[in-house]
Amino acid sequence: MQCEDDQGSCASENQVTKAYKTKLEKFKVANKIHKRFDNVTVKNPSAWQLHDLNEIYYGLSQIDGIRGFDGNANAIDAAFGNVTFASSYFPGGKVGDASWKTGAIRLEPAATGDTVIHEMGHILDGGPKRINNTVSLYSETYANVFDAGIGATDYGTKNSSEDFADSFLAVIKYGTSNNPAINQNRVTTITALIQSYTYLGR
Amino acid sequence: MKRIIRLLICWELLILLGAACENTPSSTSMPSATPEASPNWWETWLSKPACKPPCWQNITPGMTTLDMAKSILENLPNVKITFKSKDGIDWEFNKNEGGTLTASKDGIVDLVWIGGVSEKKLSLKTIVASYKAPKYVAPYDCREGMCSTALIYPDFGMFLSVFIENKGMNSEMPQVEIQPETVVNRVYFIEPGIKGFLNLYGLQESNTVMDWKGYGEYP
Repeated sequence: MQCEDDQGSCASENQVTKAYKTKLEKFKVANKIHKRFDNVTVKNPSAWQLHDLNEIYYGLSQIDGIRGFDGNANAIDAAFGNVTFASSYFPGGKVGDASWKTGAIRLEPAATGDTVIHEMGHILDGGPKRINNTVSLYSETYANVFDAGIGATDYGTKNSSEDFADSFLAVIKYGTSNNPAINQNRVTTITALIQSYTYLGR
Repeated sequence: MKRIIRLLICWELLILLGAACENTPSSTSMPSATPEASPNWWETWLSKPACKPPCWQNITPGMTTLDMAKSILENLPNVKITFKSKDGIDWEFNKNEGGTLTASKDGIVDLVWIGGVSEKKLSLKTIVASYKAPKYVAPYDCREGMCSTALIYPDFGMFLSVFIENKGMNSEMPQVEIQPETVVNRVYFIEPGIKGFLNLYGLQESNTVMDWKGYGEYP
């Protein structure tokens, strides 16, 4: 009641407190990401919405989960290298993009955990090429599998690179058995790729 | 340095894996399908179905074993098996049309889908003419202004997958428009009941599935 008598000064004080708490919370989530994934950097945590940072954490946790790298930090490091997330805006319906060359992922506030996994799929696609430019992308090496054809997801029919990234998402999201999103050849190839890292990372 | 060495070893392993993958089709492929006058993937299914959904070509999710399904596929005209593993089988009707089935750990088929990415499109009204309207509409994967949406026939153990514009505010509040000309990309066969569909995609009924109310916008 005293606050109302202050002609709004209390309200603004509350707003400042709330803004401070949210900012603090953002740094907490960013720190949680940095602590668990030492190859990942979230650029300028205060520029993000708290929800977006939670989606990044959720997406990365799925990749690190039982359908993915199963808690193997060395394997994640070897597969993705250093990855940097930056907050961004895109025209149209696009909500994120990734550069395997730099490991940079840009996300819009509308991005979800699925977007994070898909963009990480693009980074994985170029993992070896980032180290040695003379080798091919995985989507090129396995062009017979990731052909943007019948067994791809709806989004994956755009091109082989999208096919690879979305197949990675499908395996992380639905697992290896009874996967409704992609055909068996894609499931088996993505699973073998992940296992090639987790096997060596032990 | 450690990472580079690890990656180089990975790369070597993957080259070996690639060679293995390339060998797979030749070791599993069957006498090739007749290339000429190949019907579209839905034509036989709609005009001369071998059995009622969820059965397709005498392969029934929840009943048929993986070995039986393989044998059936091998004997179908215009079917070329392109990949097989203990978890399932992929096949082609032609370059742009085909299907996949998956099996549970006990070797029973639990999912079959057929579909295509060819120029010749299957419209929803064609399926509705044979199977009437679906019972439910469920956008299950919305991203970048589009939604993969299921049109579900729970009693048949069948759903259709369509890829349509998301007219909603964002991916979490999608709005889709279903029209007679909506293109069906895949037809899925699973065990009957809505639970089978929900479990497949890890969805909750309350926030995903809408009752069919005719052609138009959902919700």
